[in-house]
Amino acid sequence: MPDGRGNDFPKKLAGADQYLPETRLGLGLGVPPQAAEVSEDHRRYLSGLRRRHRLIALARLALAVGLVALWETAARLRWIDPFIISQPSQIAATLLNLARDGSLWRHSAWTVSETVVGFTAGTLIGTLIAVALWWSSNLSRVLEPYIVVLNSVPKVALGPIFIVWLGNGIPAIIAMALAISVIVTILMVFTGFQEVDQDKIKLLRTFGATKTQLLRLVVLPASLPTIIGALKVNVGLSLVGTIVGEFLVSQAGLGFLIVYGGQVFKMSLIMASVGVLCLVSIALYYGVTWLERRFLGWKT
Amino acid sequence: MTAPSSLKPRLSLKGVSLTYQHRHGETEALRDVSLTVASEEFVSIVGPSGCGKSSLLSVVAGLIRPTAGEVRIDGDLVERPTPKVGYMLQHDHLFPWRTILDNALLGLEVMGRRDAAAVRKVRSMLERYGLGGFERYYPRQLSGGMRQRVALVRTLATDPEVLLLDEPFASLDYQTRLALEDEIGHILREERKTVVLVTHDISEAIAMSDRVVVLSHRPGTVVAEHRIDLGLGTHSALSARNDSPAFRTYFAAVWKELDVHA
Repeated sequence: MPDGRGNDFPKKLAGADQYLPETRLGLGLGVPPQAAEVSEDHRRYLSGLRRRHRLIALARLALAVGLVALWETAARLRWIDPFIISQPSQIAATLLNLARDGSLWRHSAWTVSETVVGFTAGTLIGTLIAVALWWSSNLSRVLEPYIVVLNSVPKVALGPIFIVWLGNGIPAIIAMALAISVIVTILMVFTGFQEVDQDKIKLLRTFGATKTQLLRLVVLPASLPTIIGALKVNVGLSLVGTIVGEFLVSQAGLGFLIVYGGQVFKMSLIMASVGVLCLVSIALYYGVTWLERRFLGWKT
Repeated sequence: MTAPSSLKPRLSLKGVSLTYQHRHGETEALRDVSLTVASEEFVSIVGPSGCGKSSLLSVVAGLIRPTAGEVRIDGDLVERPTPKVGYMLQHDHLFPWRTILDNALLGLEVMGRRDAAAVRKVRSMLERYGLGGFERYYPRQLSGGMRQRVALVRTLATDPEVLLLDEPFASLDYQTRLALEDEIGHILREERKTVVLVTHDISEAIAMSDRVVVLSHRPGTVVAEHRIDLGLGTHSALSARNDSPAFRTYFAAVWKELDVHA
């Protein structure tokens, strides 16, 4: 009964400040932050929280130290064969040697730059193709089955083709890194474009927006989280592409070191290279996370 | 109460029909809708859900071409979106990645009219509508009512003559809704805008409007019109509902015409 339900409402309701969300916001609206005085319960809760965090960090460290110590002990006491399984002290020595003669930095730099070029190009080209597909629904309908098929092809299998076409060198490696990330990017970003709220597009159209304006003002900004998400996925994928490329091309890079270590049967070289590879992938991932925080500040 | 009918027509729909084509057939959304809205008049369109109310607004806004008939604003045929029309949707649709100021400037930016003067104007509008100091905030930091007022500023900033409101209060809680009805109704009258409000809330339509147009089930067509005179001298959401005996009469009439049980 909509005509009767207004009875209980106070007449002063119409005042605008009635529904300013002062308490919810607490941002410069006259609600002082309560941080100054903390209750005894809350202090106990906070210190418990901190204790738990410290314990977890400690357990993580202990796990790593324990495993390395176990490995080293096992190798020294010949429970395992260090020639086959290697041992931490040897790996450390190898790393030190590699660092001293500069090859550690050279090979890492190759791998990092090939990967960065690969996933940047993969994300950029993939996004551009997604824009083209968004622009023309006919084009996207025509290309859809081809993209789906290309997505299911294991890109690593294309390695020899790239080497034949681009020569036994860096271009072939970058092509691998790009091929492995570009199709996923197209699919992810195009799906993101299609999920943009149609009413936001309608809103812009009421202002007479052109297609370019729709792209620039809504579709791209609304899909930025998806594009950064694609970038994150591509860091890992392009690293796979780069390493496989380096396996095949065998000139430089951490992939080359790993293959070389296998050929001359130096397990500590393989293990050291894999360890550095782990560090490289962590660094790249955090680099992208940093970008995400910079560009998606409005989300948090 | 003014008598807006004495003024020249701002908006006219003549024999507007709209049929959607799709794979499994066609849907007739609107049939032969004719309607004239005078300058500065506030007209509400009520109808059962799915009666083509929103389609009607899309046609008036120039987003959809009618299958038959024509829409004119100040005598000019509407064929595409025009700056003379402002459209407020059901949700505020503020862009979460833009600040309040940038959101309010969106329409002007699209029209290529964002300059220092426009920014000054929008700032003062935000100030006037109780949003001063929030220019650099992001939409998620504001309440539903505040966000809807930002959406109003965004719409008014381009200075349209005709405002189309598509259930702009539907997503708000009842209390905020009444307050905003009052406030936005007041602002639009003060700015001397011509308004077409689409709603399925009969009481909202009666409380806010000079005239209520009732649409039928799909295909939507005009079944009745009521010139509203609540005898209050003002349009207040609360006193319309509480203090006007005429309110109940209008409500009962529209309720009957809507024929909800059909």
